[in-house]
Amino acid sequence: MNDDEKKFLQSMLGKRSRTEVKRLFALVRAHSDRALLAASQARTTKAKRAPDRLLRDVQRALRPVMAPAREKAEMLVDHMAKGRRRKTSTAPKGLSDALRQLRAAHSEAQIAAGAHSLAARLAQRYGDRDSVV
Amino acid sequence: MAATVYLAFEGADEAPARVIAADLERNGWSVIGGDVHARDNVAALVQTISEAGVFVLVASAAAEQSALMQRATAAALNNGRAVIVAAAGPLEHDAWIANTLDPAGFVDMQASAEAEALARIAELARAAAGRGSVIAMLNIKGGVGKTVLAANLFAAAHLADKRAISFIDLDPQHNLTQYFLSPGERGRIRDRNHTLYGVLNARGENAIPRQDLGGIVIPLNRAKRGKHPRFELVAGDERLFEFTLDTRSEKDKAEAFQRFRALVAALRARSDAVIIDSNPCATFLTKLAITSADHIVAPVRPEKYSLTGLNMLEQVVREVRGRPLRPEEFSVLLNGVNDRTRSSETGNADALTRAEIQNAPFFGTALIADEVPYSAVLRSAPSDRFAANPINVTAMMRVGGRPAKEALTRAAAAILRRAAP
Repeated sequence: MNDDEKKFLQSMLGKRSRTEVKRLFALVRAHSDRALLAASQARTTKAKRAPDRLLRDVQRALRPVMAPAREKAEMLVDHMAKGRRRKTSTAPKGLSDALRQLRAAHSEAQIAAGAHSLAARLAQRYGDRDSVV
Repeated sequence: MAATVYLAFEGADEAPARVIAADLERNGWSVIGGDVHARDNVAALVQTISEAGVFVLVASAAAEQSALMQRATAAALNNGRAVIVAAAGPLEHDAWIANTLDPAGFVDMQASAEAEALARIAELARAAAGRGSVIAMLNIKGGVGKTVLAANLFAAAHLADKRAISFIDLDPQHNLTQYFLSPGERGRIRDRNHTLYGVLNARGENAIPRQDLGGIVIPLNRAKRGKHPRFELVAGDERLFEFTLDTRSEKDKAEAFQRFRALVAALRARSDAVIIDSNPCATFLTKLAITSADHIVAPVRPEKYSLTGLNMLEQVVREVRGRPLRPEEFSVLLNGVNDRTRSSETGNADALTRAEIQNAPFFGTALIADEVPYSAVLRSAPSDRFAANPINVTAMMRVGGRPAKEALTRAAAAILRRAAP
């Protein structure tokens, strides 16, 4: 074994005890590289987030409105702030950001109802397709 | 072109004309023209006037009697030139000068000090030159995509290149207004009489006062965040049909012409481009578009009758302006290019149309290299969706259609480059 190899081994094993190191060598002799790699890599997959049902509901309610999500979020926050003295100071970046802001002051049921009433109000003002007389 | 003034005067007004010319040259203008009687060829006179940026008329009793001076002024108006009137003597109220041009805008060289009047003329000339271009979307044939292209091309210029755009919906079918605004909004605007109909009407309860003409525009980009350049519309309505059916008197039309010019001047002073969406066919409204436009964009679909409309358009423009159209004043944009139009029976319609235009002596140089492909995002199909912010209805703000969006951006940039003064 040359000096480089010795140095590499020392840096990898660090200050482990003699028993630990002997056990490691035995393991390496007993298994293939693939098995050792598979066993040594920790599971990195995160726990799946629970779907945000409110976000899905709000997105569905505002689907008929042609606008980027950022504009829809601003409209929703403004709509929910109507009649309230204190208004949010920062403009939301998107719908999930808007919900994060709104959840501080409203219940989920209120937010969902707000999204539906916003869609209805916009439809009344800007909807009404051209019809034939 | 922009730094050239055409100075028109009668022989009797040579003295004040020389003073005006000297002052304009001191302000960096190149002055052409002179005694209109010195030119014996009217066609050459029209051509020279059309090449100048501004037309200055020295008005006096002698000018009021001159048919040639009237012809020269008509050429300036029909070619979309800004007209400045320097009144060198008392004018009659019922003579052609007061009837054709707005007396409120005349510079009275007798009432005010000479230096003050000259400064006012130089200021008016500077204001007329430092302005955006007026672009008319025009084709005698209907259904070639004038309206949808106008909305989407210049929305691309606004969003991608931050250009300030003002639209004028000059079509009685007012499809551009319908494209951007919901029926409810259109109804409210019509009730307030904030449409082009109020601009063209000089009298009656529907008339908008001349000083309020610039105030009837409707903002089309209402996004709250960030500073946006202007993106606005002068809406049309169906009552514009009155100006196409020849039910209006010549006096009404002359007043409508003056008021339309005033509106265009107000918009071009604040926008990079004023886009006029014109009606198909050739009517009084088409004449308004042709006489105001610095540049004409003719969309063409790869089909036979579209090309016939293009030929007719050239004839109509020549008739209105009194001179042939110059290729640099004109762009042809191939719209709806689609591989599916190729078949064993019809051949390749796109290639045939392209070759037909390219090989034509006049249109060949006007054809824009960037073509607009057929795209679902450019279809104005009925939908249950709606937009609180009108710009969101454009293809540029909708999901998908990347090739069409890129083509629109490139074509809009090419048109604005060609239309730049």
